[in-house]
Amino acid sequence: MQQKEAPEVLKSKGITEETVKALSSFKDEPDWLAEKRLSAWRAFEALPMPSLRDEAWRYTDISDVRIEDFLPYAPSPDVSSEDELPEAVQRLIKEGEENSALLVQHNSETAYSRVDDEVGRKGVIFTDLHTALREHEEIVREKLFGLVPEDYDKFAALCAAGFAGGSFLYVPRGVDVEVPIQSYRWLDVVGSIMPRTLIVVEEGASVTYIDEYASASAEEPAFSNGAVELYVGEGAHLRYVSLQNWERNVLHFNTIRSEAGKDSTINSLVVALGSQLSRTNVEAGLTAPGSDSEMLGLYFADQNQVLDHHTLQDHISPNAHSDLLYKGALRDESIAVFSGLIRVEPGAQKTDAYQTNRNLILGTDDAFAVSLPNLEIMADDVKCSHGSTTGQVDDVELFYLMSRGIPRAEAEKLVVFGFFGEVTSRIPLKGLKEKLDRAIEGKIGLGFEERVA
Amino acid sequence: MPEDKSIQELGLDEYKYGFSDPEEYFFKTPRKGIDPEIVAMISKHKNEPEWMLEYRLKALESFLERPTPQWGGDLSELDFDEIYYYIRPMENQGRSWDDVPDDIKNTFEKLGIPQAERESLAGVGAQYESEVVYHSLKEEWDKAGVVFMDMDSGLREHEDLVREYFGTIIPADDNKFSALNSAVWSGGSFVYVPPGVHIDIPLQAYFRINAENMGQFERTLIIADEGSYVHYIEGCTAPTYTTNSLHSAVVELIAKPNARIRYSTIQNWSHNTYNLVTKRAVAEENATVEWVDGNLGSKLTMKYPAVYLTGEGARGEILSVAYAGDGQHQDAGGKVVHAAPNTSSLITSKSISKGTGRSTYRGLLKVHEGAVGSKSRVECDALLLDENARTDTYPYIEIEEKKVNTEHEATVSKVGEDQLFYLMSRGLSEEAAMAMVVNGFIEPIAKELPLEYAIELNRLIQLEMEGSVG
Repeated sequence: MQQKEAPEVLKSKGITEETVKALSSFKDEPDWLAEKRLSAWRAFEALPMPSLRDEAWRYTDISDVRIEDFLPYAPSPDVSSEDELPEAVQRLIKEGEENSALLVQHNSETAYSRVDDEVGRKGVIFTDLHTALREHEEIVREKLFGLVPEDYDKFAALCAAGFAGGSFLYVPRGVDVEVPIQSYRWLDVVGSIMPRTLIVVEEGASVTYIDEYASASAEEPAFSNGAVELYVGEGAHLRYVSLQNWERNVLHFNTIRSEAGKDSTINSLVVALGSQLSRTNVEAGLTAPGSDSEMLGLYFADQNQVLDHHTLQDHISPNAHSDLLYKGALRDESIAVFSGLIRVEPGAQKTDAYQTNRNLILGTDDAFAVSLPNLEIMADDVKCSHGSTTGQVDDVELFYLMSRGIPRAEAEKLVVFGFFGEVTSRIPLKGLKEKLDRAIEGKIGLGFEERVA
Repeated sequence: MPEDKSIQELGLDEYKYGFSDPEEYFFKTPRKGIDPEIVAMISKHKNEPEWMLEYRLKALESFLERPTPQWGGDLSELDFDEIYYYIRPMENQGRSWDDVPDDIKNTFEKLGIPQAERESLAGVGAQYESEVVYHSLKEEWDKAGVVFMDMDSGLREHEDLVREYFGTIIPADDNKFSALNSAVWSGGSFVYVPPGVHIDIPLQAYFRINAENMGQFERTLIIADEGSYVHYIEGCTAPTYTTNSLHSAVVELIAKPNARIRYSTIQNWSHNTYNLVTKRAVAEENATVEWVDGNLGSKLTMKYPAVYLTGEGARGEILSVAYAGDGQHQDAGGKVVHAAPNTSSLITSKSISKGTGRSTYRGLLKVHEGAVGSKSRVECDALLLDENARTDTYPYIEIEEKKVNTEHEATVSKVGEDQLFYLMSRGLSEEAAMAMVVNGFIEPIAKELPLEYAIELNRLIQLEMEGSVG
């Protein structure tokens, strides 16, 4: 992609109204979007910074997050082929799923994107947001900010005001994209990355999309603040994966919201392994009769990480089904927060909704697990249930394995794999599963052998 | 109540407390609302020691400083200036069944408690407008050194004991309503059970509100000394008024090592009452505390009985049943804090929402670091009887210790049509079938209550359900 020189104001730290305006004119945006950014900026300024006094943030301390310390924009080197991408990114691509389309956002800009001919011929559009704005303005204007509006919360407002890069996927009616579509966000500066993902899957179409976040190791804090909007039409099927594996200097904020057509299916998987602090909101709108949402989550916190997931199964229409399973492991002094809500609106009869959160505490006693599985039910003909468990590796299971000659450390590893297996076994993506297994193994690391049994 | 009755008519010449100033026997605060003057008046009227007056005044400051909670139920219509904070009733303390006021007897009647059982309700303390009107302690308890009296008498007769424990489990400034209660408390029960004493027959007390706009602020303190056992039962019936009244109690339980306290409540406040109660217990080594809590009636109930497991091997159990009818909000639940190793807890919550009723389970399960080997289970089941009914579940689970095992489960369902069909095909009316299903649903709680209370609970729910099928 041809990059042009960014204005000076985008090269100094901090995000202000001026940078928002500069970004908009630098990108030659249409008036409606420039205005949108400004109104988002005003929303950001008006909203107080969340604190521990806010119910939704009571376990997640973000008082150290100083948005003024981050570069608002960082350019990306120009790349014309996959083998010119940073080696680390090439490695990520190699280790991932086979893909039929690829987009790499490097810092604030899209460095590279590719759509296989076979997929392109079917009318599938996959590109960065600004290209989409130029070439498909009408649909972008209709859908962008529709699910994650600027007033959703403080961070969504900032993302709406200051987003750059981002990706747009459009799958036309009836088109079945068999091979996954893959996007990578790569960060190698001490800056901010504010990607927006907009996915529109038309009636009867189906696609798998993988969003992966990774960075170069650094000391200074960096900031990732994203928004993901998923529109899935009648009878359509979307499998959406978010794999967050930032280095430990990154603060990660993301909001993923979906709208479901009649009899549609959305399978989401949200994985949090990296970052210093990660806060992800995942909201599935069961907005049409017969819609179905499977929500899987996997997180593994170690050292002093804080991994926070807030989920919503929003049953607005009758006869819809949702099933959530979030499983997490904790070690060291880490904190894991799960707060999930099943909300059944009046009139959403014949709702069938489940929610399970399980936490496994490993190693030392300094980890802190919080689980808030909530229900709000305003219709009477429903089946809703939720469950939450927190515990340690079961001694009986360990004993069973050790009595068969498996050393303790290995046995514990197996138990942890078994624990996450309940989630990973539900994902029909071999490459991704292997990637997760390796990451989990790395997380388990040497912690066990050193421990006094 | 009429203000011009003579002392003789009120029977106050027999009044056993013998206050120093007979003019003050019959007493109501001269105006609605609350300020230091009112608080001092209540304290003076009760002839309290100086430290209690100071305690009340300090609590008042805390009450006035604290904002009204914005979570839970809707408290926006609650006007603290429209309430009389103290009224003393006309009855004196009865000594036999005959002395118990007719309304209370009528309630027994309505609830179908047979005469034989009413007789066996010896040990009933009936609170009538902030003051205990009936107490009959069984002789053997006296002999065993058990103290069971109203809190005002407890303060007079066992001042040192009260001073040692009063407000230690629930500090006055714990929350806005505990602060209010600490400032204007009156009545409630004081119970002390000496080491090793087991009381087999439950201690019972009946409360009700029946003066318009009257707050009721009873204060209960129960101390079960080492290895003792006591079951205390509190029940409420309240006639309906047109303006809101407020009930805000504080209940503190202390279970010393190896002791066991069971505290059972069936509350049925009138539908315009705000029922905002703080209940908390401490369980020391190998002690057990059980809260059995039934909530019906009221406009809004906010009540989360808590157990702090501070000693190794302590156990806490909370059984909560709520019934929310038209326009009612039952925001109830329980809190358990594991602060010692090998502690265990069980919370079981059942709620029923009918018409436009809303029931909420709000709970906290916290395991502190070092509470190794803690086990906890929370179960919430909700039954919805109408499409306009609502139910919520907000369980907070905070775990700081790895060697633990916690589970939480909740289900929401409607009354099964196949269950109804089965019962109706055998000749039951829809209403009777519905009532049967509901009674089956709350059975795990009802079976934990003494027989007469279980009957009462079932009947109350039946009364509530009348005409519910249409």
